[in-house]
Amino acid sequence: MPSSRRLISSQTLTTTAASVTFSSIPAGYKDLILRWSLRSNTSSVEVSGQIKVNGSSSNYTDIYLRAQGTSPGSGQLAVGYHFLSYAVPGATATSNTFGSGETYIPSYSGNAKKVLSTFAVSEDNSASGPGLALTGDSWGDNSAITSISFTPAAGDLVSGTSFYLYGLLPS
Amino acid sequence: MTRPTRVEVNCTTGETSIIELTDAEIAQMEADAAAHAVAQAEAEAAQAAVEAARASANEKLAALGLTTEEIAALTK
Repeated sequence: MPSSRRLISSQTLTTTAASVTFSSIPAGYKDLILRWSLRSNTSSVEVSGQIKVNGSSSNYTDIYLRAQGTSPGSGQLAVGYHFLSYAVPGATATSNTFGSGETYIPSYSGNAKKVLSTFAVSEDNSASGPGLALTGDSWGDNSAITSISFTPAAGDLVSGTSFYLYGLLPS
Repeated sequence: MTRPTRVEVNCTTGETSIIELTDAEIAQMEADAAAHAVAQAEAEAAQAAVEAARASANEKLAALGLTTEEIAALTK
């Protein structure tokens, strides 16, 4: 595993946005890490998040563990994105709390199928929160990953939401 | 009505753009949200079915005379 990383790019929103995309990701790294702190303005305690690579809406197979409050669950999904259950706090979560998480993508520029793994928690200081998402995904496409986008399942990402994209250097 | 926007960061140039969603992007987002709602409901229903089956099994074991500790020893 690579031992050092370099910040490729970052983005902190100063207004609402439906999604954030990092495009034209250079190919010179071994792996990618996307880290975030975010919140949605939808009228829920928590909503799920969706990550797409290369703008693709197909070939994702997710295995997930999730929990919201005291309700854990697990399963497998084949939907058009990397599925992050309950990963995004909404407008009725505790004020000024943000969800945090990290997605790891090894060998993103290779010519084999890709794997995405995510650990995310949406902060909420009530009995119904927080939400937890652990998701592993096989993206059945051999293309090099050149873009990554994050979209909440409902609402817009609010001002103060931030993303950091790191490249891991070959050891 | 204001169209929703997305933020795109070009990692090669460093340029950040705020882009209004196209009709196709809005349609895709709505389709993703609909698919997500179905998937979430299915996942929650499946989990509820498992929990109901577990509760039913525990009740039947208790009816056979097993104690709470004995049921826990069998099921964990």
